[in-house]
Amino acid sequence: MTITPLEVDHRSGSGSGSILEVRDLTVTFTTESGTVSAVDHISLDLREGEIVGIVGESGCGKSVTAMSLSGLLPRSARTAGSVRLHGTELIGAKEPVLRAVRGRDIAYIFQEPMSSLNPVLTVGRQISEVLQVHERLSRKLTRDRVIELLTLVGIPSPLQRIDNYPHQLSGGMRQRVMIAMAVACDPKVLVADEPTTALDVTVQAGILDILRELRDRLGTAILIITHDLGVIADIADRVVVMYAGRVVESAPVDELFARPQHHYTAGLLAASPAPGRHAGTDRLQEIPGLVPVLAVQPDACTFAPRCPAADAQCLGSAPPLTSDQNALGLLPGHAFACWHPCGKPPTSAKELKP
Amino acid sequence: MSEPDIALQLEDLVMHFGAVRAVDGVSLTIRQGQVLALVGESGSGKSTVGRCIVRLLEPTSGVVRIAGADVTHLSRRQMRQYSKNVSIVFQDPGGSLDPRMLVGDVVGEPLRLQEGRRMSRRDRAARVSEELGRVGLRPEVARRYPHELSGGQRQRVSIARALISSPTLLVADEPTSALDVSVQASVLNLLADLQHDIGFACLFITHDLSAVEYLADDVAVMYLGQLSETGSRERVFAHPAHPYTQSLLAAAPIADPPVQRARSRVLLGDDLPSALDPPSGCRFHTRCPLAFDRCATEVPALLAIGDGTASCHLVHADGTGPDVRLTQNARSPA
Amino acid sequence: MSTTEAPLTPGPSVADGDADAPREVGRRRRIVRRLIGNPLAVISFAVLLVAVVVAVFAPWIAPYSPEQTDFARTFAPPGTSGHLLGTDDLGRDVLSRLILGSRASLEVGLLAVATALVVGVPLGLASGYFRSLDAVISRFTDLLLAFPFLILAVGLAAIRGASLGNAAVAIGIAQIPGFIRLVRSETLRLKSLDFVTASIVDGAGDLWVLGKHVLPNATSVILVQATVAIPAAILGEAVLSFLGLGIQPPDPSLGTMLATAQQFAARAPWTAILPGVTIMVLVLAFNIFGDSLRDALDPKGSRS
Repeated sequence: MTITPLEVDHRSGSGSGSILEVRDLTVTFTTESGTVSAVDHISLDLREGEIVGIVGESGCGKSVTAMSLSGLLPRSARTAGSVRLHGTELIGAKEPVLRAVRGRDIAYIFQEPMSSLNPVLTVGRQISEVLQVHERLSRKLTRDRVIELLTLVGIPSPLQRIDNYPHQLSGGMRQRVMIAMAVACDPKVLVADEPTTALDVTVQAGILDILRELRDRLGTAILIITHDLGVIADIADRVVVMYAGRVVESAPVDELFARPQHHYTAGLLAASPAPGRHAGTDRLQEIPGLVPVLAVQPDACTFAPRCPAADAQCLGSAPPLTSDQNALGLLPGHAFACWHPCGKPPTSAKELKP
Repeated sequence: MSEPDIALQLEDLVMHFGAVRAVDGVSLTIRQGQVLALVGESGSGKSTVGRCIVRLLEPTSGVVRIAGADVTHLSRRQMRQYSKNVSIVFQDPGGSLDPRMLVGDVVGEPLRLQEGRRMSRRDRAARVSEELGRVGLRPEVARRYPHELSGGQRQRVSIARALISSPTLLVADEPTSALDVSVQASVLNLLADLQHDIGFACLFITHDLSAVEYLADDVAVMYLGQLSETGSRERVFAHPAHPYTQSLLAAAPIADPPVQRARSRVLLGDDLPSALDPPSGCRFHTRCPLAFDRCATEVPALLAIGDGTASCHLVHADGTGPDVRLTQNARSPA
Repeated sequence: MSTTEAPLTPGPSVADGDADAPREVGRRRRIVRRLIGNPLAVISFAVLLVAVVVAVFAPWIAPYSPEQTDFARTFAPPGTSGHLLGTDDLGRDVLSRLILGSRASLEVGLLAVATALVVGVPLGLASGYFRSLDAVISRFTDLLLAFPFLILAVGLAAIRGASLGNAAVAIGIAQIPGFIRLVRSETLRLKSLDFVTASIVDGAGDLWVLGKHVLPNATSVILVQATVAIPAAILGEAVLSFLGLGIQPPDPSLGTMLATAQQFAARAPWTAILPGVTIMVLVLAFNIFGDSLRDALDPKGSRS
């Protein structure tokens, strides 16, 4: 198990097939006050060496999607649809199958590195445990591998750090340890759920660099979940925008930022503060209203109540995710779910205000 | 020393918690009706500064003046007569409203405390409705409980409460950090509008430089308990003098993929020194890409540069100096 | 948040602040609904309700005076006509004694917990809120905890005589530390929350903060603790009365009934089993209801 650079043409993405295929994934929760529809017929693909970002606000279902991939949701969740990892169906798979998949094939890193680490074990010990669960290595080999992993995630002087306890590390270092644990078994898919949200901005850049390096060197496919469009712009090859449990738009990253078609995407872009991007204006664009919490997904566009372009059609039937490339001159792979797409650029303030 | 148009003045503020030197000599001035953004990362001591100003903490040394009055060492009883002048809004809209109180009672509480029986119940209710209206909420919200409101609405309630006693100074401690992007925008806009209309002075504490570009007149950047740089918003964003300010600006990703990919990055390393044992000399020298021998031994003086200050050995008196974003340490774009 | 479906009507753009908040059912109604949804809670509450009603109307409900002896009919087994649950060694009606004994148990339980509340809650608030008092009150708590409860009861009985009231006070004193610690930790938690801080910034004094913010938010945990403390007190009363330190014969008490019955347990097992079962049912009902109340009050249980 050596780490060798892998030549992957990650920008084109179309060459290799999908590692992870999600089709019509639907998740509902039963609570004491009724059902909640968290994810509604979501489809997405993750190819080898590709970084896909899922972006959306709290309650849009992005984290639920991530957790449902390897059956990590609580019992109150009902999952339907299909998640195929290299052709193996994971939805409805038996717990032993899923357990084998977790860590070895699909690994996760979460927002809070402190609560994900055991405070009474050294970081070396914790990484070794992951290795021992999935691979049988001698003690010596395990230690070598742990040091190799710590080096890989950019931890300086790994020979000393291996014997540190989590509290002796800074937040950024802890997140690096979490990444080391996640990639210990060379997973094909790495799911990073808000990996930098709890970190300072000067530390965030380093973590994003590590993720990018993993992709470049190991060919790991990364699904990064975030609310931060800046992070998406920095790291993602492709973006999936979620709203109220549905995918409203998905496109290659440059395309999405340059030509957002869904009014929610456009609104989100306009609402994000970014140095220099709104120079001259002294107000940020707002998206009026609230994200709905839905008991049942309606046959309507769920963004319609907040949308400046909504009309009777939007309320009467749910727009399918289509890629109407010819009419709008969009790039291949740009899909959106809107009856009245924003159209050609520039999409900005004046289109949001009716 | 105290001029009439100064809302807040901090002179060499020091706050130590035992061996932890959370704030170590901070001097700031906010004029009436101005917004000062105090920017820093975790552990910079920025929130401690805010807590010293509203006198939740008694500073170890230094002076805090609010609207000319020295409040540094007032007891809580003495502080009561000044509490009308200063209010605070916190980060977490969930925790800052008493879950057992109706929204109307939450918003009206400062009046009950400060006016007591001088104000009738009816007058107070009228003021509460008025204040709720001002933050864009309907008067009926007064009869709701906080948990019935969304995060953005709760933060509006917090703002209404903070402004009901017409303070001269509002301390806003990361008021939008816990909110979603679209809600963040509406709360920032609301604060900007209210500040413009009412004209209170505001200390806006944040870790997010980009959030204050619309709001702040001046910016102060803090690192490990000390100020690295202060200055007008225009200057700090356009020509940051201190390497730490430059690094902060370079690190925040821009939501524009081609631009973001083309930017050079500044990697500072993750090992934040602790305020328990701050580095010698310039506190930033352990992470600064430009640090040289002198930085580790000699504390840089706070240098006046035009519209503000910077404390760095490399910055000249005219505010010019090297830019970490242009050095070899900066990683070239991918 | 709630599960209210957002109205899908094309509205004019409303500001976030103006939009209808997802309306939730009131807190109290939600708690009651959760309790009703839990069969164990309903059953335990029904048992407690019956116990309280019986206790209040005991003198009218009991078929006989609990002290009325009938030496002609000692050890009548349950089912004997006129004595539904039989009679004891002195021919007293067991049912009547159980009814009045349960009443005494409830009285002790309430009195003891009231004592513990009156002393424990203010001390807990003070200990958690005022740093200067914390050390003193905490040492006092340790002292109380270290003091053997039985010695206390014996001492109190020796000085003031053995009675229901003194037994209750002894049990109550033994329960004070639990309340102090609970209220102290809750106060410490609440004190650090932003709404308390905001109130202080706005000029609130200590009494205001404690009375308006801390105590109201601590009531639910205090309530739950009380429902756990009452059955403990009932058991304590049984122990004290069993040892002769509580209610004195011939007054009926579940503990004294057990104490007398042990001599005749082989001959008349019902005289021992019935008070034992009554204690068990009362204690279980309180404990189960306390647990359900804790679950119902837990905000995390509401899934948000």
